[in-house]
Amino acid sequence: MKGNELVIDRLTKNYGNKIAVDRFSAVFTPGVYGLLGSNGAGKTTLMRLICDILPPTSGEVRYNGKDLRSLGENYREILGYLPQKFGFYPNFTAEKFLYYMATLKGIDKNTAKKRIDELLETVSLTDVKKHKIKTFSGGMKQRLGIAQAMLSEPKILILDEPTAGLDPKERAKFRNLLSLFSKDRIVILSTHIVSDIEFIADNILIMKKGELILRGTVDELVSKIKDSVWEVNVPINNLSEIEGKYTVININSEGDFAVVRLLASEKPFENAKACTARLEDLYLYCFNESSVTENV
Amino acid sequence: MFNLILNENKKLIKNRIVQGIIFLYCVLFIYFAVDIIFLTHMGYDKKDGEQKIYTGLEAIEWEKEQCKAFDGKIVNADFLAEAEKMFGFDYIVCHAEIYFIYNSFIDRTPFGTVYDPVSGTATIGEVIEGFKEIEDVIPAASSPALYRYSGAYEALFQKLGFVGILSVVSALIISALVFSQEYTLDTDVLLLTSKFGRRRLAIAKSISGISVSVGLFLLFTLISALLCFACYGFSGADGDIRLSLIRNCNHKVLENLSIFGNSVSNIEFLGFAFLVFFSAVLIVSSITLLISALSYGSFSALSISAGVFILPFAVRAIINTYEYITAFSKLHSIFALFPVILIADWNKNLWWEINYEIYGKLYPYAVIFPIIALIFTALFFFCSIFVYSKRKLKS
Repeated sequence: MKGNELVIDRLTKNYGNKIAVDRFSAVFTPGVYGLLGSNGAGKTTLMRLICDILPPTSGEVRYNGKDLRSLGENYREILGYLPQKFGFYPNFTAEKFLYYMATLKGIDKNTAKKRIDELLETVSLTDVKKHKIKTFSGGMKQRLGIAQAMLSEPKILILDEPTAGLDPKERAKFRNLLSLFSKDRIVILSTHIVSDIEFIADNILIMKKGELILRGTVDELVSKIKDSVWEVNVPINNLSEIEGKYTVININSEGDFAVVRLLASEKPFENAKACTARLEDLYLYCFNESSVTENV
Repeated sequence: MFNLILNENKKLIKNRIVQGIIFLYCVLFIYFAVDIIFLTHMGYDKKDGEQKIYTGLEAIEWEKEQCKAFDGKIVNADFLAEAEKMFGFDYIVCHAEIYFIYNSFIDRTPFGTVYDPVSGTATIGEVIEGFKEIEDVIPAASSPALYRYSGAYEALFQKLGFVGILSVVSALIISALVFSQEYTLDTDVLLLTSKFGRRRLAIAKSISGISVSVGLFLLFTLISALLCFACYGFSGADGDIRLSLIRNCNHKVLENLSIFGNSVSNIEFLGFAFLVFFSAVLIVSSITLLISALSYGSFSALSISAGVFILPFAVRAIINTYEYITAFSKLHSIFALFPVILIADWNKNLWWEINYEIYGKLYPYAVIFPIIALIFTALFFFCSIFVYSKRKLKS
């Protein structure tokens, strides 16, 4: 298949009266796309719709101008998918599982062997490749899931919460792997962990209640709140009042005082200092949630 | 495709439930082997005309040796008289029983007045007299029975009931797991998004489910046959089935066999039974595959499949009243077409009654049932593939 363009056109999915995805439209060309949204924002549903494992209520997904449903096997051949929730065959070894998936992906045996060895090395599972999956930790299973998604070197890679269960070192490794992998490919990864995509995503899409509410590069998005992030030193007794009035991003307590990072369209206090906005600030701005880190 | 089928077979065999079934099979093989080689033989005693007792393997060998004298002979009054001298009362009564049944069939009962097969009160003299009387009255009532020593076939027909039931139950469990285990393990998402993970995988899975079920049935039948033939020898292929079923079946079975008229040899009957059982395994497997493809988990697939096959039993049990049977005897006979009932009733009256009531003869039944089963198998097979190929996630 020549070209690599995925078009989502007014895609909608309803579950009864509940709208999970609401007229979502976007065009994806090669690059890394970070799909941000709180739990229940519709990210997983959207990804399932893109993978053609969930029927849309309306709208369509086209790959290189053709409807997914008409492409069938040809579309699945260029698709790699890591679901948020998935299972393994507990009595398979990691290596056997990847061979099984390689057969299903139509990869010939010699290519599969080479690719499986490479991927097991990449996801640091070479030492345990002969071990049964039921003996694996959550992180190991997640890495095996990532390996199977990348097995056929897909043109479209869809990763739903790929870093769940990975430790910080593994997450960093995964981000590097994805940066290398994404050349000439469409990579869409969903998460609600902002740091996972802040540095590797070319484009960020923010979903809220099934709708695409923001889209752009990190800089473009962050610029929307560039004058709205403040840091202020306040007595700890005043915290509850501040939390009620502003969107608090972070609280760092030091004795009787606390350094509070907050969102406000105007300077909230005389002693407040303007800060450089980050993607996490925008996320909280959009979802009006607070992330509190207290160092007491 | 071959690799896909091979992978699915491996996956099925690695499933703990399937491994449990295979383990059960192994236990039964051992039981059969012990039963045939030791228990049956050790508890098997024979008395010759001089009241000398032979037991266990010695009895088998003695019987085989003595039976050579009757090999290829037609069972008649002379045969009975000669056999009585050789084997004593027990054995001869069995053969006499056949003729009692012939008699029942033509609705004449002179023999029945002298011989009661339940209490076994007739004397040898009475049996032979009665037999001669029947021979005069109904010379052409049925075909003559050819005698061969058929120890292996007798043992094998007895074992086939177990083989059938186990094969159907295992086909049901294995096929129920084929698609549903993916939903239970949450692996369906991975499969449905892979290149061959829909239609081709569905074909591979369906072939795998049926082939593993049929494979176990064939393996179990083969091992049972080998055990029987190894112990009793290969003699008896062209022997009359009526003589082989005597120890394992009740009068009704033999009566129906007599109605059939033309003599059926042991090997023909074995082929027929094999074909019917094979068809039953196929149809059970394919129906269960469809249920499995439609379900959302192994437990529901197993429960629904079991329900579908147990339902005819339950319905029959509920409506099995005298009034109903007399009013709807033909309709009642239809129950025997349900695969599980067909096999469960293998040694029972109904099985034979239905075969003859519906089809009149053995051969049409042997052809019609497998053809119906094959048509339904193909139908359910393609339905399963279609259902799985078009599958979407629930939410």
